[in-house]
Amino acid sequence: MDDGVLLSATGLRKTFARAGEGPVEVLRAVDLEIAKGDSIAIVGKSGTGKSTLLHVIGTLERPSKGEVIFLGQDVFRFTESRLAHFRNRELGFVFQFHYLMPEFTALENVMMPALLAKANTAQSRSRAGALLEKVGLKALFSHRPSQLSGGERQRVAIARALMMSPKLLLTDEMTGNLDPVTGAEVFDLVKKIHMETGTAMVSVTHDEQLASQYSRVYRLTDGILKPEPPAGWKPPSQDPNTRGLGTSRF
Amino acid sequence: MGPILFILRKYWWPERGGLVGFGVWISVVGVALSVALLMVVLAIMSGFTEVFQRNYTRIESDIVVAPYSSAEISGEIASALNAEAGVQAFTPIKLSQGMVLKNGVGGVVLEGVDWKTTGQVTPWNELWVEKPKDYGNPLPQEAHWIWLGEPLAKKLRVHAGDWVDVLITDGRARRVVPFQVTGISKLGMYDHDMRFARMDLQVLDDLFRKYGLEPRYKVKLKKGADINVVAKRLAGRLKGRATVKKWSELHVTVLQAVEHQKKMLYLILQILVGLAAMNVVSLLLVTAHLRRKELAVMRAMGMRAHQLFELFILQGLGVGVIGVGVGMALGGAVCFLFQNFQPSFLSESVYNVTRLPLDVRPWDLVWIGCGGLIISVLFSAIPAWSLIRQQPLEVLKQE
Repeated sequence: MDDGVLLSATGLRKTFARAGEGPVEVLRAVDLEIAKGDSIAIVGKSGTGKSTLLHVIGTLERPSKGEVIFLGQDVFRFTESRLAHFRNRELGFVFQFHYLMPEFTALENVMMPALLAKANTAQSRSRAGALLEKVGLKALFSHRPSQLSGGERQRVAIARALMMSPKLLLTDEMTGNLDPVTGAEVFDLVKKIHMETGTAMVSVTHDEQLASQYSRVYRLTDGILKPEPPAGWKPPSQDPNTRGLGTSRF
Repeated sequence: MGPILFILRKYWWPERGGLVGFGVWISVVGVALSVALLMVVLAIMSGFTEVFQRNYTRIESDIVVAPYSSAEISGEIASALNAEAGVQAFTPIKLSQGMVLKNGVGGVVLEGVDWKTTGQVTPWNELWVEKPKDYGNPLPQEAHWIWLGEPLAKKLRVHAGDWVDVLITDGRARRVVPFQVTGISKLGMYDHDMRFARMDLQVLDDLFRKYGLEPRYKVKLKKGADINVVAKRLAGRLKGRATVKKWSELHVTVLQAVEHQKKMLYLILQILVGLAAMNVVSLLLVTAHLRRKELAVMRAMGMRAHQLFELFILQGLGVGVIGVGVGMALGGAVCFLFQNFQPSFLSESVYNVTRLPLDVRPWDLVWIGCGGLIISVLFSAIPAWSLIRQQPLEVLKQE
């Protein structure tokens, strides 16, 4: 196996049963390989199964067929307990909504994955503080979610996703609930963290502009995942010099 | 502190109020009140049992030995009783029936007592309402004296020193024999005080000589002696010749009735605890609903199913532990107040006591505590179980 491959999804199919209707096949033989340090955007129309694909990769949902190999291990052969451990240690999730716990401070929310893993509290507190500082919320450690703006809450959620130093960060419309300026700030933050830490990243987004900044872009249409040509890309016969390159990618 | 306790601490003591935190304490109050009620009711039931036991053992003694046949084995019984280390004293009695006549009629059980030894078994000195002037000094055997219970004496409007007639049936003939009331006692059991009259054993024996009354022996045990052990040893010594009955066996019907009543009340009142614990279920269901997205994200972040289960079970356990603890303290306080500051308000003729008797028994507390905890934990498992069966994504998809 290639040492550079972090996750390999092969032949993923996902079918949902719908009451009164026949089964709906959302994913049809999807193959995707994520390299260490990769950044991948998945775009597509609403309802095409982008989030489903992300959830299958993130082991939140089992595929109807196919397998997900993470560093050589078929994750869907794990027990529920080991799967929980795997998600805790190897994956970070950022959703469209922050889902922070309202009674807890920003610092405590960020610490939560480490607490669930029964990590040392003092060390967890220190790391959570450093992460909050990194996402620009140094002065807001003790604020509860209700005392934070939408952008600040999403920054806390990002810090929380990075708490266990995951190898793969999965984001699902993470800026979808923010105004354009705040959304751009949050995106820049994630981009910066990705560049600094080398954490591989797979993002589902509607925003084609943001997607164009990822190193690879895939479009999901009718359950089929296809790579998108880079921005300004022309068929090789027309412009062989630009093949595989993007100007502002990370 | 584990992660679950860390989360629970915030749920229970949110820094700026919170419906769930408030709801938790309402649940605790519900469980505490029902536990306190259960404790007080069981203490009253136990108290009545205690009164019953105390009164009957005073009257009937701890053990009664009765020979199987009319054969004279008094000597053997006396030897067996004397040889038993746990026996403090014993006294012979004989029983028959008659009617006491004076300003009315009272049907009575006539108990012939050996008044030289009866005081060693029955604490007459504590029981007199009108004490016999000659009590403690042997009367001539032929003297026809009689002791009546207070309610019977009141009914017949007699006092110590008065004469009454005792009607006895001797075969077909009826005889009326005059007796002088020399003492009026109050044993504390209304029925008993109304139905029993004591006279000299020899006199009773003479009155019913034709029938040959069988003797019985009332036995008082030494303090600390195990009644079961002593009864068993005596039964062994007198095997085939006499029956040995503990006081509880003589009144097994009444005691079983009280015990069944207590058990039923325990079960019924545990339902009350269950109803209070229903608060926990509704609270946890609300918690599960309000926090379903946070909890789903936590599961996505690696919270294991057992941790989620613990989160809910510990909430139920917490409500149970604090509720039971506070309830027991409250129940204890109520019992203390009842015991020390309770006015007399019960009709003695109905209840044999004028105040509610209370007896807090350790095993009752154990049953109450375990019952409350088990109910709280079981009820908290319901929402926990429904939540862990739900996949985290199902919740997040609802957004």
